[in-house]
Amino acid sequence: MTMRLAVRDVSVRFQGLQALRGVGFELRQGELTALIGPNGAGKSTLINVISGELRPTAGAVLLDDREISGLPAHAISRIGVARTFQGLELFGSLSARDNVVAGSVQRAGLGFWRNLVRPPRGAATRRLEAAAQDALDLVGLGHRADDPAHILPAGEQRLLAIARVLATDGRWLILDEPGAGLNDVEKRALARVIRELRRRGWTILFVDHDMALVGDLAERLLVLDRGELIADGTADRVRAEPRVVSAYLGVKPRRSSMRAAAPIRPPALLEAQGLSIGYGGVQALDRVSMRVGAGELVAVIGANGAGKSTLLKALTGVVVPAAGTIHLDRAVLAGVRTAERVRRGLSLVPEGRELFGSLTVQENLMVGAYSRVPRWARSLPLGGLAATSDIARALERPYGLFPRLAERRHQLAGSLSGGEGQMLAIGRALMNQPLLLMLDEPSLGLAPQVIEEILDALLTLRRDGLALLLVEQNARTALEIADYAYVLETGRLVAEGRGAQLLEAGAIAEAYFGFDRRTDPAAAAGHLPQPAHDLQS
Amino acid sequence: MTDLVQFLLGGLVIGSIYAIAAIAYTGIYNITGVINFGQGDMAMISAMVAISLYETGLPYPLAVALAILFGALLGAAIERLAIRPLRNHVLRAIIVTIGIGGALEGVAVVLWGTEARTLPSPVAAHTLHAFGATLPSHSLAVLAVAGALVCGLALLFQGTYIGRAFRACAVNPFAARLSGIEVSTMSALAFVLSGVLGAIAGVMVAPITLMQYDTGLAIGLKGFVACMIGGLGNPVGAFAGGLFLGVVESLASGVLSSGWKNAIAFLLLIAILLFRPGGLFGELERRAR
Amino acid sequence: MSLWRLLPFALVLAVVPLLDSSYLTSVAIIIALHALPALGLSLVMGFAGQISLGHAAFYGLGAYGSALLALRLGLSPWLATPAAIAVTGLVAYGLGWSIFRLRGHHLALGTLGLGIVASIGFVELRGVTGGSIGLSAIPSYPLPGLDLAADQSFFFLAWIVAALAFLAAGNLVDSPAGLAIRGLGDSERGAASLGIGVARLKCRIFALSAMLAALGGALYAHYIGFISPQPFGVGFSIKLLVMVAIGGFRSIGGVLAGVAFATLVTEPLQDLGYYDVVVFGALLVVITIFCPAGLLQAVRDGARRGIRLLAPRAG
Repeated sequence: MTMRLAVRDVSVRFQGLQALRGVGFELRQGELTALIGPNGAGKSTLINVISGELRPTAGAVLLDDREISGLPAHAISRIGVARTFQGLELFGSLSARDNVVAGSVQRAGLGFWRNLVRPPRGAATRRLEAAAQDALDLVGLGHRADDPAHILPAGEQRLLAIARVLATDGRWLILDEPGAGLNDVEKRALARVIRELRRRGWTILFVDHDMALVGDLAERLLVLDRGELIADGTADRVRAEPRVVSAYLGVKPRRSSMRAAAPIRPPALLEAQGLSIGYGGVQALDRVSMRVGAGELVAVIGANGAGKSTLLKALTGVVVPAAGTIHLDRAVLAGVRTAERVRRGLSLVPEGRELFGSLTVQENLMVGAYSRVPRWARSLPLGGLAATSDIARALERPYGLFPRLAERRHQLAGSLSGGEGQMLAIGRALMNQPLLLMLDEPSLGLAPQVIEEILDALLTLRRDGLALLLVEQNARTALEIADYAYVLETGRLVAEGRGAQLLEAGAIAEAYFGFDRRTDPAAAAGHLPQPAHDLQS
Repeated sequence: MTDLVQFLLGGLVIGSIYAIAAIAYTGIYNITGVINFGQGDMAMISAMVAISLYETGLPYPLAVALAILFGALLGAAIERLAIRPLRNHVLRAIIVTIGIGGALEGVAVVLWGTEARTLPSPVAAHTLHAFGATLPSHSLAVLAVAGALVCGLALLFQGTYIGRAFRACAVNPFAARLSGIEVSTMSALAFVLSGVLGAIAGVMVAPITLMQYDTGLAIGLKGFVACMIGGLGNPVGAFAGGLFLGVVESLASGVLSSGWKNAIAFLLLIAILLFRPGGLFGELERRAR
Repeated sequence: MSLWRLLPFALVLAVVPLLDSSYLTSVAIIIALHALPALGLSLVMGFAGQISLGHAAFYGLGAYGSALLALRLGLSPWLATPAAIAVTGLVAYGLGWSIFRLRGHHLALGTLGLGIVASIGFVELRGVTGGSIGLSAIPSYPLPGLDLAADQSFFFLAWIVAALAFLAAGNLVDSPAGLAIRGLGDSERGAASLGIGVARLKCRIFALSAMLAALGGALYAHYIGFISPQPFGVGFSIKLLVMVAIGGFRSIGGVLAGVAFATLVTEPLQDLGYYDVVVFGALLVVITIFCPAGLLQAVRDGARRGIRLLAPRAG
């Protein structure tokens, strides 16, 4: 009988990036534990280490006293530590029942060659199918057994992944974001299933971003930030932990850069109305309306999975909204391709920077100006002399803003540090002389003083009259410099107002740390979808 | 010693043809993620077009120019009709290129039969002697054209906007899109470029090895191997890989039968795939990312 | 029960002899012989999701192996064939361990490379394989009272063997182990997370697939009586790919349909020169773009759509 799963001092390093640093904890049998942390904290890496997909650079994982790190993934699953995936990794072409049966094949020991001469629908198969049906019933998918997995809606797919992993007979379950993309009803179903599993004796470690779900289910929380375990305890204790609060909300405001608020917002440069977007049954954005005025710095904040990146993708035309309209400079953007939107002055600094690593800094910037180079000049050596002088002028802006880039202009972009890379990404987006600069999580993974430097640059750009749309998980930082802000929560706009006002109001903490909302129906009724309330009024 | 020089030079000549084919693969692979298994057959059929035009009495430069134009159009047509509809299905796109290669071979047989044909060299037949080795003038021409092509490509990729956009798109298509680059344009460009390079390779190789319906497959496959030697997706490596393969084959032909000489490339391919999947001198690109 | 899978085989076995056409009988034999390697390829590519562009090599290994064992060691073809199949299976299993470390493009290239090396080997190992001339006077399967070199009788052997192979393959893919194989094709990570030893499973499938190909090759060698390297080249690997693509990759029944279709369409063209190659290439392009689930499925869908269009008018 195994009693504990110990993670001892695990460190993982990917080419210079320290993904995990000396993480250690123990899970005891029967515990229901949540693993949380902001984007990029190392949660997936940790799960991959425990499940054997990744070997730790240092440290070990032990089941009781047996070291399991170093074993291949399938061997760890056979020992009884089984996992689900954020991306599910279901067998899309198989029926729901067959997905679960596939989960039990290894345990059933039916061999390989024997199956060539054995009628396929024998007693053994029927036994596995009956067991699969039980597992499906347990997660509430009994009625879906014959449907192919790929046609199930997202919520049911998540549950199917759990049913499938139950069939392995592992007693230790690791669930990677089981609630991602689920609506309230589905989340309640999920919570019910997890509680039931717990009651039946499974030990569960799950990762999720929905604090309501986490707070409701977990007896114990582990918090990761930048690869380190920064807290371990009950929900209340963890929430009171200052390191956790600053990991999620960012550091406290350090300066008073707030501009005297203009009494009325400037006329809209970009305006989105009633945007709705769904991916494979998941409602990523639900009737979101927002705008950015000329010369304004607008922030969109919200926890992971709130729909911030989806909003930006819709604005840039990378995804097509199911409903709603977008206007840029009073022109409708529906049906306008990304490249054309860029040419019209909509620039995005994508999350994770997305640099052209094997191009030099200067080349990255020049590619950023592609849409400004006339067609005829693009295939001429030296870009055509006429265009070159324009480009030279355009280069002054990023180099002036970030002198460090000018020093490194001939260096490959792939060799830049994180902060320099972010500067380059911003610089590249400025090269097409945008009307509106949008930034997706520019502070992600950067050290505080670098974040400061980047924010200063954004303020400089605003002072020069550029309109900015800043999407940030790091709420305090963003609100501090924003003229106006929108708060997203699971695809819905839940608050908007001036940055300073939102900082005071509790709405943000609610959006990020809504531990108190219950996932059971009675309590959740008080938190049904509601219209956005304007804190200004 | 003189034998060695002779083999080296011969290897460089055939290697530069592999190298050109390899660069064509790399361009397509980098932009679309597809390995174009029809590449060699595109080269073959363009060369056949050149031969036929030349045989009808057109002057050599015009015949070759038209064949290159044909290669470009063929590349564009393949991209538009077969690759673009499968943009999100790389494996299916690969299978389609296999089918295209087969169909092109068949077309060649139907139109030109199975006999090998030849195209004369544009340069007068001379034999040059250097370091005790002899080198036909056509070989020198091949080396010169290959050198010029590489310089031209370097100018295109390093010096022009479209070239930079092409490289940017190869590294990070998403960010390229956000910079206002139409990825579909770049994909068409990759196929046109590969059609052109294929035609040039075909025309250059025709005077050396003769041209028949299945010559393309051999050139194409060797081009692949060159690609893998250099690290898939790395144009500089692809070029070096081509030269390397040519030289190794040439040196081996001193000791092996011509059949086994052909096997070397593929044994090398398998060994590299298994032990150095980043290519013999690869890794550069990856580190740069 | 998957005995219904035997229906088309029973039909062919019953109908073709009645028609008493030597042309049809020989075409039917070719279909059965090609169906075996195609079935193998379908297991690897369709079900387990691993691309292989070198399957002709295993067809060749079976043919050369069985022929050589019969010619050089004087083994009865009835013994030579299983021995050659076993050797081919072992070779494939061993190769699998290294080649399946590759994925996607690299796997395609690696298997293609293997196929080419094998086809060069068939030519160049002159001492053993007879070089490009090949081997002749390969004995046919001896059976008292029946001349298995004759089309009329070999037809039965080929189709009965093929029927059994299809039955066995059907059993496997319909069994729970088959679910693991199909799961592997859908998501390797997912399969490993369920305790399925992915690497070993791939090797087993590859070995099984190679053995089916070898069976086809051995039957071919003892049927034709002489072999040369030409039919075992990359061209045949690609033909197999076309056949499996027509059948829809992931359908045991589709394989037979694909092979039959491809053979019936291209066999008459073979005398006209290389038109069959054009047709094969074009078929592959069209099917991959327009009917990724195979021609059979496309026809079925089309029929269903047609019925739906007609139904309101009829009713």
